[in-house]
Amino acid sequence: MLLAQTPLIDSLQRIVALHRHDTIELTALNGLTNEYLRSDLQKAKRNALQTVTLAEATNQNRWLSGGYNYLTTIYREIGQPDSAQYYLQLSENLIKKYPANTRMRFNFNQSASLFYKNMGEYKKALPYMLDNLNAYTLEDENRAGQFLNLGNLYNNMGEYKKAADAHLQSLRLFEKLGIPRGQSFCLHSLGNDFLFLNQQATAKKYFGQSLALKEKLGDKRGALNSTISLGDAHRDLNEYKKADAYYTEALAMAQTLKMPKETARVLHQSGLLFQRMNAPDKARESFQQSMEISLQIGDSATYKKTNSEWIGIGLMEAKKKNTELELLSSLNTVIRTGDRQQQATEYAHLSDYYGVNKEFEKALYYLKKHEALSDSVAGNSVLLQIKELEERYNSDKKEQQIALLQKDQQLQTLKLKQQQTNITLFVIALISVVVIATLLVNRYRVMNRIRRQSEMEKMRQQISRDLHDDIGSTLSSINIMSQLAMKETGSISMQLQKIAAYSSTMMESMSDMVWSINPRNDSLEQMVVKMKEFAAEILEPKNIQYEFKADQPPGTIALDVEKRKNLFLIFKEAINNAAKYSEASNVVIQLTREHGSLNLLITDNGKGFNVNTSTAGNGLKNMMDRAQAMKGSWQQHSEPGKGTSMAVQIPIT
Amino acid sequence: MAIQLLAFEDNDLLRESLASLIELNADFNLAAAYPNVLHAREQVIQHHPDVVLMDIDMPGRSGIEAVKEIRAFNNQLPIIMLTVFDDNVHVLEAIKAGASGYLLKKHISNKLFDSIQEVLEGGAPMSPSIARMVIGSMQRPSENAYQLTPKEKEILTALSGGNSYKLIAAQFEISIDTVRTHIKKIYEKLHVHSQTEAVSKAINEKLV
Repeated sequence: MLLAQTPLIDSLQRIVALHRHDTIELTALNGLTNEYLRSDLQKAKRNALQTVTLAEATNQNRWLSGGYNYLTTIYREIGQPDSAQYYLQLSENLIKKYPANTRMRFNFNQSASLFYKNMGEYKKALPYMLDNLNAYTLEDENRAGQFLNLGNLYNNMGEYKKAADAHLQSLRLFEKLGIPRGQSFCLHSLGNDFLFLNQQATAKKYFGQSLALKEKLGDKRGALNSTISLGDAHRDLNEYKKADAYYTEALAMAQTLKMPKETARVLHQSGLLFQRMNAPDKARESFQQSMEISLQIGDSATYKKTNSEWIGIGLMEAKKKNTELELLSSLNTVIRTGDRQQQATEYAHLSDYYGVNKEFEKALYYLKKHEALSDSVAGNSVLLQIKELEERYNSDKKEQQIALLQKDQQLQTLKLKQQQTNITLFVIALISVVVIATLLVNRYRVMNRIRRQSEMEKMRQQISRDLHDDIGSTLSSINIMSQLAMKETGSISMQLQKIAAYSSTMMESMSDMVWSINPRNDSLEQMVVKMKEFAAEILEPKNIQYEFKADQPPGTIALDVEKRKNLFLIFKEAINNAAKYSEASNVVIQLTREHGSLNLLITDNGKGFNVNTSTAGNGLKNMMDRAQAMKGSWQQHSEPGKGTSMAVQIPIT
Repeated sequence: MAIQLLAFEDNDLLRESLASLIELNADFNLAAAYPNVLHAREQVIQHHPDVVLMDIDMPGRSGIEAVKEIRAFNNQLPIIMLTVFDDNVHVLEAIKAGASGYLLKKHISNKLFDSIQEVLEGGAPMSPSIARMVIGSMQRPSENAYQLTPKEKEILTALSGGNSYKLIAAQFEISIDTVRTHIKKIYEKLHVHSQTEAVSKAINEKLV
């Protein structure tokens, strides 16, 4: 029955180890408590205490309440009812403080009812349980669990009809929701109901199903319960050997799991077995052990029950006669706790007792009471009703199966139709695939071509740069050489001057070309930067004041290589002219945007010239040609003594 | 005492012209000129130059690698990069590696000696293209921390808009020399930054 640590526990522990101090850690701790609740109570307790500490520190009332409730359950299980009651009280205080929190109230009700039920205080437990059932009607796991608990409570109170009714409701819900653990509990409880109704064969069947399911689920505690109950069923069927085997196994399990309450219960049941086997000494020994344990853990119901059996042995042997008070006290206890089955047994004992003591009137009185109560608890009428309930449950199940079959049939018909449609769809899909594949191949080809093109473009740029690097270096050295030659000879040779000037010009135009083909420079903004740079380079050494006005923001316009080159070269030419010939002291450069056009206006305050008489040099013609190439216009105005202005207008998109 | 120069340039013609150019100026002396940087370290140690002229693209090993190597043992020696283009990311890489400045090859005949003087006096040239690249690399989240002052950032931004040192000086009402000082500081920060980066990278990769 040893269970390996589950992956769930592993992962929850990993979360806790992170010490996040938030609701995620609380959730994980809560989950761990819940997991350990059925396998290791000490670990469960540690986790629950941790939950409470963290919830208090972080002011998470919901988790705090949850922690209290778990602790109530855990302390009760490990036989410390005082501590359990303490935490239950804390939980109740929290409810009173936050009456609007229905979820907290629900959980508290559940814990309180379970606590009182397991402490044998059945009447106290009932109102908590009913409160929850009334307040919470959604058909989910919670409701299934509540029905289960209610059934168990009714069973404890001897209301077997109500008990089986509740259990069958619960089983139906758990099956519907697909929760095997819940089913295992219901099956066990139904076994209990039938056991008390003296339907041991049916009970045995239910217990067996429950045990199998629990073992599959690794539910050690649950398996222990079912094992004890299987012992009970076999005992009542007079299969003493099998019963003894089950009890022995159950005792070992209870001790391994450190569950004194269950240990006491096994001992009690096995005492009853020995009693039936006519082994009073062994029976007494078992009862005595059971009583010691239940006294230790404060389980008054079990204690009294066992004590009464123990006295019963004495009665059977007719040795002890002054036990009337003990019996009456037991009777009072069971009446108070509401265990009607036990109450009936107590009546029988009292009747026996008075019979032995020849007080026949009293004996008859208690005998009648015993019969009346037995009948109402497990009488034929009740049996019939329960049979009915069970059958109704079974026929419900069958109806559901029939409905499922009909659904299946409908589905089959639909399937046939669907197949027809499917074939059509398949053909369409096939055609689509072919078409898409063709398109994809095509696209791939195009993409490949584009990629190759861009790679080639890159390579071309690289080659062009390398080439220019080489040419630039060589031109630079030609330039240096020509200047050196002039210095060396001391003569101002026309040829040498030209070599120097041409190499300079070539270097310039080469770097302009490299600049204009660089795609990073395709915005108007870059053009403006380049223009400003050039203006500074040319005008500043000549001490010509200049002003550069550009519309903001010009960056949104992209210019293609051709326009970029042409516009910049026009600009250069104009600035060079102003610097070289105009003798101006001030130059104004304006770059403006109008709808669909870009205007460049350059004016100087130089000496000007006569447009009509001046022979247009190559420079002016070049500017005009470049403007035309951009489908734009170019104009120049000048008069002697009145400066020069040049205007270019080019269309932009 | 003439200023000692050491040049690395793979273009034979340019290397020769450089030699001739420098020879004519009595204030400068070209200690040696090499076509590659495969032995840059030994050559720098051997010649003890005052300034190094370094081409960026060279066969076998780039000038940037050589700057890193030299900076590993000499943090003071001024190194001027020679380049055809000033919008090349290599220029920025060279600055980050520790170059003190750069000179466009088209300006060698006119500005070589001025540039050397400027670098020796602690100046550092920067073009709008380079300024833009610095800003661009600052905007990449991982490299944000050059820890430039607000003023340095403003100057860098103005420079990247194409404004000359003169215009910037006028705009911020400071002298051109102050602009140069700021640019010099930016150079240093770029270099320091790339140094720490290099060290941490080396530690991360367990090379140190």
